[in-house]
Amino acid sequence: MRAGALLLLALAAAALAAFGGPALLEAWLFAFLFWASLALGSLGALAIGHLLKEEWLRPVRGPLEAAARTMPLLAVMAVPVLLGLAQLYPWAGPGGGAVLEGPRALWLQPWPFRLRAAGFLALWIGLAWLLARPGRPDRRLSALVFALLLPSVTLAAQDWSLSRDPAWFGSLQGIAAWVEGLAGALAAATLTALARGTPSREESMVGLERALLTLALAVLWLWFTQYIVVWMADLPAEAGWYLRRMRGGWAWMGLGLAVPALLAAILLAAPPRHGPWRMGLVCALLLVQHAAHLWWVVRPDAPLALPPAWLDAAMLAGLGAAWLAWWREGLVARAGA
Amino acid sequence: MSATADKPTLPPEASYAGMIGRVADPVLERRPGRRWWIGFGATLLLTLGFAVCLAWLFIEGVGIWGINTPVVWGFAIANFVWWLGIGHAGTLISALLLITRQNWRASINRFAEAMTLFAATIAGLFPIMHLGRPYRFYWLVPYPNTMEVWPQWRSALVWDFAAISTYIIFSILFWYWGLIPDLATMRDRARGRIARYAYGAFSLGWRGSARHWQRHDALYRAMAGLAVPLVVSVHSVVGMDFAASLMPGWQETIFPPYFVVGAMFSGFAMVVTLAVLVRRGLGLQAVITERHFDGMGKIVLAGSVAMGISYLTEWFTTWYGGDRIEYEHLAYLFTGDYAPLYYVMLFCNVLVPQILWLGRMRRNIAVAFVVSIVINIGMWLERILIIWNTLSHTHLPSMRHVFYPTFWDWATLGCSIGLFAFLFFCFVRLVPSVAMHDLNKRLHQEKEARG
Repeated sequence: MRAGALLLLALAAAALAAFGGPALLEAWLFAFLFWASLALGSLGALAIGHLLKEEWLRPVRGPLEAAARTMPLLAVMAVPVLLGLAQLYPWAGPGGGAVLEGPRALWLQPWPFRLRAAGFLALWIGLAWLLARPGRPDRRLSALVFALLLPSVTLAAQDWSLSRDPAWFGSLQGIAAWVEGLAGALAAATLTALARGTPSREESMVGLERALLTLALAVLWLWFTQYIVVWMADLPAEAGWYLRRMRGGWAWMGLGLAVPALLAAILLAAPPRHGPWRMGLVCALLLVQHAAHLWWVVRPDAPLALPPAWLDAAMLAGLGAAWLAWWREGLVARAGA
Repeated sequence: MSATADKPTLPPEASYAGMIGRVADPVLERRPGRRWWIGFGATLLLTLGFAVCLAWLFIEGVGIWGINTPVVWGFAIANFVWWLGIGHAGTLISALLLITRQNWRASINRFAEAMTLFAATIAGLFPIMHLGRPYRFYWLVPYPNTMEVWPQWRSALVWDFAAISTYIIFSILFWYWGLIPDLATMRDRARGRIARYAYGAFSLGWRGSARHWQRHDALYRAMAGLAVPLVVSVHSVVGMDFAASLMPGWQETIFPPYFVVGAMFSGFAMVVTLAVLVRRGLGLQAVITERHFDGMGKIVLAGSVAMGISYLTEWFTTWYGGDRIEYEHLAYLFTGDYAPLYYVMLFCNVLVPQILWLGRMRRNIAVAFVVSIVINIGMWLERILIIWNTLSHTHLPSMRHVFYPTFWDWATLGCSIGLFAFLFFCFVRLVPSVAMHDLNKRLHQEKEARG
């Protein structure tokens, strides 16, 4: 099943790289970033859980490890993005160099971009292979994974998602994006544990409640902090980034869906002693928030074409099917180990 | 961190009565020794010195300091940020460790919270001292006034006033609420009538019934839950004071979280410093053990790594952004007038704490003490350099000049440290420095774990 998923994905990636237009690539990019954020968030959650020996890790450790071990699949998913840079990133398209100045013109070049991406993916595959395995966790390794993940994910987020607006580099953006991925990954793993009826001690579930609430608050704090600093400074490049996202349908996606979903998740998670349904709802809201917010961050800077909503949904589901097949087999293999 | 929670931190032979005696006796039974009197006297003199600094400042004005256009923030604002960082850590540490069930916090949370109270109060004085007309500080309060002068609500400085005053009030309540059961213990153990009345009045009729404990713990946990976002938001506002100013090196979206991490880092370093002194001064070797230093060392190390990543992010962002003014600012950091201090700061905050990767170094109390002092110095340098580097290298080249602190700058800083120490000398003689009831809960857990 895992090999089949990999083969299908590789074929789809090859077809897209060869024949895909900008709209298809746009949809692929969003789906890739979403599933990558869950895998990277899972690796981060594992590192934190092991490092702090957190009780909440017990019921979700299996799903998180299986998600972290999907990294090789991400490498395949990344291929169309890396081959289609000219259609996805304004700086890589015809005459794109003109939009860049100074050191950014050096940093944002197609081949250095691809080499960095390859380096990040190789690093994460290695880290996931080392950390996401059954047995007694190594806390020093967890510390090392965390220390390497933080800068590498920040830089990758800047490259893959935020460099589509090369005029602004928000120093908080990458970290905030990763923390949001952490919340999404933990929410997905908790939903899995709830759906599977994983027997858990009360202490673990209370820990999960708190971890979800803490992460949701951290997401709110980081994005709000960034917004308020930009609002106060009111400088053209960064204000422009927000202004583009405050118009028309983009505003509805951000203020009408992502923000209310996050606030609802926080309000639901705040009172203690979650039942399974409430916890499930909190997790679902966090996942909705993550998807909607990621879309709100990535899509308004599309340089060539905007895919229709059904294409985004279909691509998300298609890549998700391959990712979930890989993930499920990892979960089953872990349970049998 | 949690490994410390799992492993026993208290000696196996420890008993409940013994633990209470160790903490309460230095206050109730033992007379202050010569060392305490010397320390008390010296810090009292420094406190009087602080009063002199204040008086001279109010008579002469802020011209007694080295500030001059364009370096208008100088020592006072750096001291404010430094003290507030230390002040934020106590409550944050205590609340965070409570929420994450790090029960070893019992040995350190009381004096960490006291540290918060003293440091935050001292921090709150500096912006007022820095005002040209300090007697009008209350204009920041949005009270209904006949002049129809209202604060500028879009200014982070106004948010500062609201945030810090809320924080200080909250910290007092959090500290006092945790103290009540111990005050009752002191009331019950005190032999003198005055002590019995005083502790009795402040313990609010605590009897230790199951209902009292249930309500106490429920409120204490709720307050801890509120404390974390409060602390984070308060220091975020301090970060915004800088980030909103459009000055090179300051206008960074990462500043609020960077300031929060810095506050935790410097605050934990100060907790380690105080833990060593309290442990030695009050003979609490059985209560604050090497395992506690091990746990604190790990958090300090994590803070150092986070600070290192923050510095790297700052350098990378500046380079990547390609803004000429920002680039010049970065070059000024590494090659300008304050470059030697910048290297010392990196040495103190990033390089030296790496020694804590070694477990035996974390458990070595002398090493922990030295590292914590080095970090305190490094974090003060960081605060002052944030101000000096940006303001000295202002947009107009003809205005640029190096800041030279005056005698009064140094005296105000030194005497504020004296005031902090003076308050701490009073604290250790008046209330138990360690949370006795939490300590006994911890002891109970460890005895159960040992079977």
